[in-house]
Amino acid sequence: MSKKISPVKRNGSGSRFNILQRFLLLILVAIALMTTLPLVVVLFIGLLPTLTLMIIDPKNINKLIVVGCFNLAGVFVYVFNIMRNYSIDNALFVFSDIFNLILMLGAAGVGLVVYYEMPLLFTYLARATNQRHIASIDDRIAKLKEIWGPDVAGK
Amino acid sequence: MSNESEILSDAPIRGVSVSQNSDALSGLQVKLKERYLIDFGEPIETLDVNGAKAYKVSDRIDSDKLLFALICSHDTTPRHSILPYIKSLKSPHLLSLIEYGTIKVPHTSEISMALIYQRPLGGRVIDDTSLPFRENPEKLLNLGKNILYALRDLNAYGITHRAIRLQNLFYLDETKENIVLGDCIASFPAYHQPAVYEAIETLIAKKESRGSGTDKNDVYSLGVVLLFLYIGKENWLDVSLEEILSVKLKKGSYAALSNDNKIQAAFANILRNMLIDNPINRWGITNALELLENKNSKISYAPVQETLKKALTISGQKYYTVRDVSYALQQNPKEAFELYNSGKIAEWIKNSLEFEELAHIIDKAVKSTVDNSPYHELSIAKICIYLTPYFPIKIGKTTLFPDALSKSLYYAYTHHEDLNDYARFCSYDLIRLWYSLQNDSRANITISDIRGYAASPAIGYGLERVMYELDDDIPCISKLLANDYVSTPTRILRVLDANYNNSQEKPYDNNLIAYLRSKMGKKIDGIIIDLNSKISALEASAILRLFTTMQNKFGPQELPKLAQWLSVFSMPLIKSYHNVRYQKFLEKELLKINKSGRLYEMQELLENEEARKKDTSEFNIARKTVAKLLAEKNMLISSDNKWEDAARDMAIKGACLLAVVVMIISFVVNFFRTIKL
Repeated sequence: MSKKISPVKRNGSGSRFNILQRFLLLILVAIALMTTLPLVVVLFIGLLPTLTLMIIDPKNINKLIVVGCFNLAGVFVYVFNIMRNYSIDNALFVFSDIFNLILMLGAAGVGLVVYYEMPLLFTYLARATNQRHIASIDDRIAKLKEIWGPDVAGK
Repeated sequence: MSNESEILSDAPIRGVSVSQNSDALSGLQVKLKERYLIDFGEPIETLDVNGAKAYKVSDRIDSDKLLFALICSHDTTPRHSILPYIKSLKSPHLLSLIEYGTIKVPHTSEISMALIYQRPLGGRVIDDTSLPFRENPEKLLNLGKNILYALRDLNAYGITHRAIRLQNLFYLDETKENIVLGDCIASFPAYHQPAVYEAIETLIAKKESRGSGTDKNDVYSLGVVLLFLYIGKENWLDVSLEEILSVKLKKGSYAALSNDNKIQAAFANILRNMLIDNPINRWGITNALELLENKNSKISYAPVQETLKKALTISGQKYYTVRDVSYALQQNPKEAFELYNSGKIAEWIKNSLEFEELAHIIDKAVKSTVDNSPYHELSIAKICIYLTPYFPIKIGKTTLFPDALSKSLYYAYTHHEDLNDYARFCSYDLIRLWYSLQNDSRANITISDIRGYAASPAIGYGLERVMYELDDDIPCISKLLANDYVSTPTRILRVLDANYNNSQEKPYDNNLIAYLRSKMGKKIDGIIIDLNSKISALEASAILRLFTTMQNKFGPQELPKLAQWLSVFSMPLIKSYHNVRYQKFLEKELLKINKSGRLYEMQELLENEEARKKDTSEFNIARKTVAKLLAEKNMLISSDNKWEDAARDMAIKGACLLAVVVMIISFVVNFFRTIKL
């Protein structure tokens, strides 16, 4: 497989698509863009935090999931909003309100907070549980020592 | 001694008891066995003898009986073991011992042995200025026979008197008809004998080491008494022992003592036979009586030729008799060994004694000896024992007869003397050799064990054990008994109870345990093993068992102070229980038992087998539980980071899940909101 797609062969045989095909593809893409532009605009601007994260920390999938999902949850409010009045004006109108932007981008911020704070909370809880368990063991040993003397813990 | 009335209550074991005046007596009167009233306010100095002080005694039952008491000194110790025999003995020429027992001497803290004797009314024979025996052989022979009868009576019990001297001869009645021999119990045998009354061999030994000797020692002293009575005065009392010994060695006893006095030939022969310096040839009681009773027989004296033709030179001086050679060798051990090594001693024995076999025996004995002793004293001692078996043994600066070993040790302990010579003496095993060469003495059955006893540093052993094992006369001299005279185990607990003052650590010491082992026998061997265990709980258990057994056997029923002492000492035993609450319970219970003073209750409480088992099994369970808990705790501590990592992973997964759920909810809500509108 690697031989078939080697750059030499590609260079030898040229591009996969011919000019017509390329043209048609461009037209199709242009049509798609023209038809989905309001949605693309909302998604592009609304998912900027997620896109940024994809660029700067693409390997941290968990972070991407948490921030992305929260970001999407915020964006979905406006995605369905422009679906009713599907126009570029309407899409741009969404971004004219600062609160809409805050909701979309803030949702990503909440995701980020959840991603960073939730492990700390869990660690704290785990540590507290451990210490309570150790204290309970110490208490039981102390009671046994009180009855049996220090020798009970061995010398 | 605050609780004296209890301490001194009677303990009638083997006739010995400590008595105290319970009635209204003056401060100087002490009652013995509820019958005899000893009046310390009325001393009778003329009857003082053998280091004991004499006091007037009144008999509360028979007031006409004239008695006196001898209060034994603590300088030595009375011959306790022969007391019952002397008391039962009724010999007309021996002062009758009426009663004996221990008493508390008024105004002192001392408990001493009191001997109640019939009071001789005519005073001492020596004080009789009429000199009835002077140059009167017939009367003297009669007196001699009477005393020999008394000695024969004693000899029937295997007892020697060893205190025959003019000072100890009394007129029993005021008419001065009957003469009796005085006390022989109050002190060590021959300890108070002036040197002039003692034969050469006993003069070589230390005063306290003269031993009980044989009947021949008594015959010798009697010979001196008869000689002095004949000449009418007691000579040489002021001359030192060394001078007397030197003169006796030089001239022989008879010649030295008779000096220039003319003595009737027949009587002189009797005295010569009684005063022969070699005890092998000296008369014994039987010989003397046989010859003296047969009036028709003519008593001759055939001197044994002791002087040899060839002398042995030691320290530049020539010695012509075996006795003198042996004595000189003892006094010069360093030179003696050089003489032996040069073969001069063997040569002298062969040529002069004409006893080649003895030379071989000595040679064999010395060569088989591993002698690392100072100045080869062991080899020299062996040579001297073979040459003169009747001589005492000299080790270091100590010269003693083996039968006086215990008393010598007692003297050394009580007078704080150096014990090294005795330790070496016991380690050399010379006693067996000495006894094997005696004709008229037999070794104590435990003699073979003394080497082991002396060498052991363990509790219940050592020289103390040797001292107590070999002689029943020796009272226990443990410091815990203070100034008390304890000659039987029966009183030990009472005395310990009386002497507890909260400052002593242990209720026993080596002396006490050695004494108890020698009196109570093998049955306390297990206890001694525990006492030597170095485990304080086991030591406490052992001493509690020992004292409980003694209280059950000898009483008294209540020993509150000793119980308190044992309670303090038993703390390790209480601590050996693991349960702290049970330990506190035991401490509380002990306080109650202390008041009752019953040791068996204490033992039952502390040595409860069932409680011990329960404590041990529950402790083991608790220990396992603690081990398990500790393991769990360690696991929690060591895996702390893992737990945090796991929590973090879980939190991230949870965050992902939450994000997806929020997204789906948002999608669904907005979707349906849009459709609705």
